[in-house]
Amino acid sequence: MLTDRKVALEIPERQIRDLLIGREVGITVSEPWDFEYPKDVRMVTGYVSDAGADSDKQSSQWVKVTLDDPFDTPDGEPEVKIRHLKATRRHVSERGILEQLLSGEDSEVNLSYRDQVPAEQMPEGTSPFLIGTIALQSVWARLLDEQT
Amino acid sequence: MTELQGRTFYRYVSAKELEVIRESGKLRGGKGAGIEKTYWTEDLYHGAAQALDRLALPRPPEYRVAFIITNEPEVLLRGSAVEATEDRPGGATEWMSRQAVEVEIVEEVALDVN
Repeated sequence: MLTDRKVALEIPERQIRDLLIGREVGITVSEPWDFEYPKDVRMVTGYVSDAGADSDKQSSQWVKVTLDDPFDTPDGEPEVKIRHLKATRRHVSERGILEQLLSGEDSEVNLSYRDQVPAEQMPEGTSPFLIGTIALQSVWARLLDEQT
Repeated sequence: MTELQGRTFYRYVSAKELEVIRESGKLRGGKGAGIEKTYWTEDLYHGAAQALDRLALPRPPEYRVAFIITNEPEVLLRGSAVEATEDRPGGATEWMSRQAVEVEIVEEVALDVN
């Protein structure tokens, strides 16, 4: 059974950050199911502007993505332009999000914009995050190419 | 028999998505099929708050849709455990495909708020 483990990264965290910072990524959104992408595109794009972990647990790893094109918050939420997203792993897994991205995987993630939306203005029960998938742009190119 | 046949699955949705599923016969209306991922679960929750918390959803669902899958989408996750978030405990299990998931609705249940 998979559990959230305290692990020493095979590659030092500082090196992972150096390898990821500045890399271009793409994000698709699964929830809300009717999320509207900015412009007529199939995914949100941006670059990794920061990365790290809040503890030595894999689940605490995160990646901050600064978006190329800010988008509007989903219907019903305060009208705010979302300019960056904080991605964290959505499912318990053998590897953290940092290793998943570096290894060429597409990672299922929660995408928080909590720091950009006043929590007290959110509709009751609603939390400022999306559910989606993140991968390096080179990985998306391969995934999309495999479908053609 | 495939791993999907003979099993009832659930998805916890808004009224708007339920209408789209009815009309299209596909979860999420098949939106973004081939690139966007579609999630579903075998976990049964009786209230919106429980589904919200365990599935770590951004917003409370309005309906529980029970369905059987009528096509054979490639399954990429099989009951993976949902991590806790800052304000959701998680713990539910999710299945997932990147392909369109065609369904026959078995039951629609309006969820209690709690």
